[in-house]
Amino acid sequence: MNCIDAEKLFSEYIEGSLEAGQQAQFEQHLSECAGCRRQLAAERGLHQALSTVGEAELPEGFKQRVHQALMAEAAERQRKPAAKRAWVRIMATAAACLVLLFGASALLGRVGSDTPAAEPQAADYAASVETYDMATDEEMAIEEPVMEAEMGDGALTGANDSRMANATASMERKIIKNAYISLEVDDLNNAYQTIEQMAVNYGGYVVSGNRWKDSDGVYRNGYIEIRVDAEALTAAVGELGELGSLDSEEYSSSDVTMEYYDIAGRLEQYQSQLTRLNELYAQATVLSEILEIESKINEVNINIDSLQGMINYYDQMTSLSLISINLYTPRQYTQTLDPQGFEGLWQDAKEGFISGLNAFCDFIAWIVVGIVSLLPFLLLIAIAVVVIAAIVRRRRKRKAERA
Amino acid sequence: MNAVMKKTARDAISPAELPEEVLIRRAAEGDIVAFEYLLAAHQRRIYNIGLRMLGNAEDAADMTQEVLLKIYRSLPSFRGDAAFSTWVYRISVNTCRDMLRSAYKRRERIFSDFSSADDDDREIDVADYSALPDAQMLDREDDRYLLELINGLTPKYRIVMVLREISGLGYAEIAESAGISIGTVKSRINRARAVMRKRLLADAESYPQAQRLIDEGGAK
Repeated sequence: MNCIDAEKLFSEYIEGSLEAGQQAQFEQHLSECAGCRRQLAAERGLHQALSTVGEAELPEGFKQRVHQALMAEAAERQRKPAAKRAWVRIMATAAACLVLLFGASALLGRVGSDTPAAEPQAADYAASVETYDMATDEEMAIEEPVMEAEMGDGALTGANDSRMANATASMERKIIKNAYISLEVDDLNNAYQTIEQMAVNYGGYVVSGNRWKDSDGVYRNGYIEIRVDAEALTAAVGELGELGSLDSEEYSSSDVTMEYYDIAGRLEQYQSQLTRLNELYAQATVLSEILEIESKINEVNINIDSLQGMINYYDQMTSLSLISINLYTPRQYTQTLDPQGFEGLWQDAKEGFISGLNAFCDFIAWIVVGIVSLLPFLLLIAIAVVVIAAIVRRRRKRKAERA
Repeated sequence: MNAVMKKTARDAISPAELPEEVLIRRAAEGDIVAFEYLLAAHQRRIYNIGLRMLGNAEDAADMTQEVLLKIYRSLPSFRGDAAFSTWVYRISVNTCRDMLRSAYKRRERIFSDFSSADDDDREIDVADYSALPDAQMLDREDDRYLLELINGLTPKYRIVMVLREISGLGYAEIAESAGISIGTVKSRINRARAVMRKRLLADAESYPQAQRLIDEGGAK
């Protein structure tokens, strides 16, 4: 083994991953070569020192900063629920289909100005929304039993923080309850306004709302999210159901009691710490002490603010339930039998056939012209191919002769 | 009213005790508390990858926050094909790469080059960001020298060294995090070590600290 071969094995040797045979050869070379010994010592020294460098701590206040960013992100997500984004996708797909359809009919030379094209779109749309609902149903069905199994009654005894467990037993439970309903109404505009008023009546407000006009300028689909007093959730859903026919309703609830009192406990600790610090601050006389206590108070205040923010967030989530309402009107059947389309059918068909034939002739003519105009270039390419082939053949021959 | 209120028996339990997959699912639903517990074990490692790759605490903190937000946003699409930690590292590595690339575009030098640092007053004091106790002053000097050696590597070599030596990942995990083959990881680590070793040997003549590291390596 020479020095160049040996150098390639340094890394594996240091990590102890060399095969026995290779290792023996390597060590043999080491015993003979002082240069490699020094090189290896340097590499091993580096490896040993690096593996003890350790990781730096996160900067101060970093967790609060990230927490705030996450809260903002969560609020943003609340405003743009996944359902709405799915709807946008469906609308986009429908629009793309429409463009394709128009494109195809334009190509055939018969631009359809009549509405039947819009009808299948609406039908597709309704079908897609239905599939979406079913998907969410399925997800819920799979998910809930798992949660139950994992966090059954026995789990409570598993919690090692018995103080916290006792506390939650005696305190009010914190549960976030939300509902999702699908509602068919006759007059969407009217229903929309009633829901807005209902949100206020039930001690809440409208979170977001959207409605879409159909091609006839009438609102036929809508999506509205409201928050209502959590106590009145079922009553509110009941009243909503009276606005039309309730197609589906779904409730979800998640218990955040533990998280809530965990935060509340931490908040309490910081608050008592703040009181103590304030007492110390009043007694402090030395400048360095005053400065130190001041910076400590600042730090505690930031923690208190952030925890208080989380408490407020949970308070709002648990005291006001979110109801997401999917609104739509019954499908409008406006088509009546109208045999006008048959008038002049034969004439139209004949015209269509002739124009198709013309287009076909144009196409053939275009191909012929195209091929003829490409001929000079083809000639050029043919010459190039012949020349290259000749060179290759000559080379091969020469190689054969040499062999 | 035909629908029945679905009961979810989520009894009180501290999130820290929940299994990782439950935390992942809850976090994917948007639960911030679950998310923070889930990432508590990873935050520091992400930050350190950023610190070593980008060379200063400010960029590392920005990078860590961005990685955490990216994870929060894309958790619903996390399918569990790879280990959660590997997924986290992959996002970290990609974010670092993007930040280095955009910094390069802005023609900014955000990491110091040890070999030409002598006359550069913008040299970045890496070790200052690690809050080590005073008793470890000596080690701290060593750390600083070592980190500057790592900073001297180009990003693609630096990332494998950071993941291997500082984060302590295995070859397979590095390969998956950095999106390269295991063979490439091995050859890059070999090359990076060779480059660093040569600098160390060159520094040994004028720098007792470097000589001491070599002596320690020779003593085994």
